[in-house]
Amino acid sequence: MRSHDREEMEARVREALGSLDPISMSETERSDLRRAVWSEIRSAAPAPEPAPVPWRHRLVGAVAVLAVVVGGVAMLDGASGDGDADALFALSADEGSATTVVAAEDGDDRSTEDFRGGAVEQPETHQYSNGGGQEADPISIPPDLTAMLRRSAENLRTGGFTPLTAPLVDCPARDELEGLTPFATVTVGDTDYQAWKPDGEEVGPDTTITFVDPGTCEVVASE
Amino acid sequence: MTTSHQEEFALLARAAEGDHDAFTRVMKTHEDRIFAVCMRMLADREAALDVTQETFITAFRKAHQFKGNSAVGTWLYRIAVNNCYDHLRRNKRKPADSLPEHFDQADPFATEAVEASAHRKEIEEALASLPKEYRAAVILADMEGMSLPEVAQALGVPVGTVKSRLFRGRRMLAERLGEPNG
Repeated sequence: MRSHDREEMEARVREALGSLDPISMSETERSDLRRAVWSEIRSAAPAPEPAPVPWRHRLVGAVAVLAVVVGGVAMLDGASGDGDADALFALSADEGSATTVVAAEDGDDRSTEDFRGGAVEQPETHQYSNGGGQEADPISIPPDLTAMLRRSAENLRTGGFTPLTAPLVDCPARDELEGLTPFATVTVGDTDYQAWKPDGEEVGPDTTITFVDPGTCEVVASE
Repeated sequence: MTTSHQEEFALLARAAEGDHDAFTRVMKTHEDRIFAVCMRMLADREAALDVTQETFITAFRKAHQFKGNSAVGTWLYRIAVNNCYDHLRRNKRKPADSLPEHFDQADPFATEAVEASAHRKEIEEALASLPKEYRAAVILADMEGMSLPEVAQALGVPVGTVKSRLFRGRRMLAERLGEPNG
């Protein structure tokens, strides 16, 4: 389209849109809105939302449950201590809510004792390395993280998550997220990721799960 | 940050500390424009009222997260547009299934008014038929008068993406309004 044609077309569209009547609420709707907003706010938990729970606190919750699950996994699989990469996955319905560990593999019982003092021993999951011979992806996702998210996706597919109850408003529409819906938050180490699934699809064995960094809304993995 | 932005930022900071009066002032300033955007996005008055309500509840709860990197209004638009997207995802039906209120207000005996009303209906329907991302860009830029960087902030996309969505949205509108060269 030529520049002149384009300008003309845009001017016509703007003129058409400008011919629409302005929209506003009636006084009744306005007062109903305010009443409803305050009613909802006051009926909810103490507002506004408290500051996010520090990652250490979330880690304490995750590791406390980990101690139980590690035992269970070891009993079921008879395969504890196989030297596989350490992994700690936690899924939660909301930031700061109760945390559910859905997968854990660890060869020993370290990092499961006392974290109340804040002197938390860092699990190896925080040591993201680019080694391991895996090819780096375009946004340099550490291979360890990719492996963890892959395992996390497997757990999500088997229903090991609590559905999100609050709408996520922090990730605007991105082309990569078109047709997807966030349905869970996954915590890997001290970082939360949003798990997205195709619109209208129940999470199942074949579901492609897309992990999104909620801070940047970048897709970090698609499993 | 302009004085107005600073004032609003301060109001929102007070709201984050639980000052309901401060939040009421923010709400009064923006409620009509947020409602208008929701109404244009959803073409459904009841849904627009619900999403406007949801937007302010979310804003109050997230007030402590607002860092002042954009105007409060832009931040509210962002919440509103995302809530509209969520609403559209949840209700996958043709959006323009109820007439905007102004159609009922036109004088049915005045030919001019009827024609104007019909034309407005055509425009409303063309707008409602756009993909939601294009629609949001067109509404914010062409109807709310926001600058490209403001629209980019409100939609959380780069300015280049806004330009592209605007161009495509306008071209689709032109085509649907009977502009063969659009």
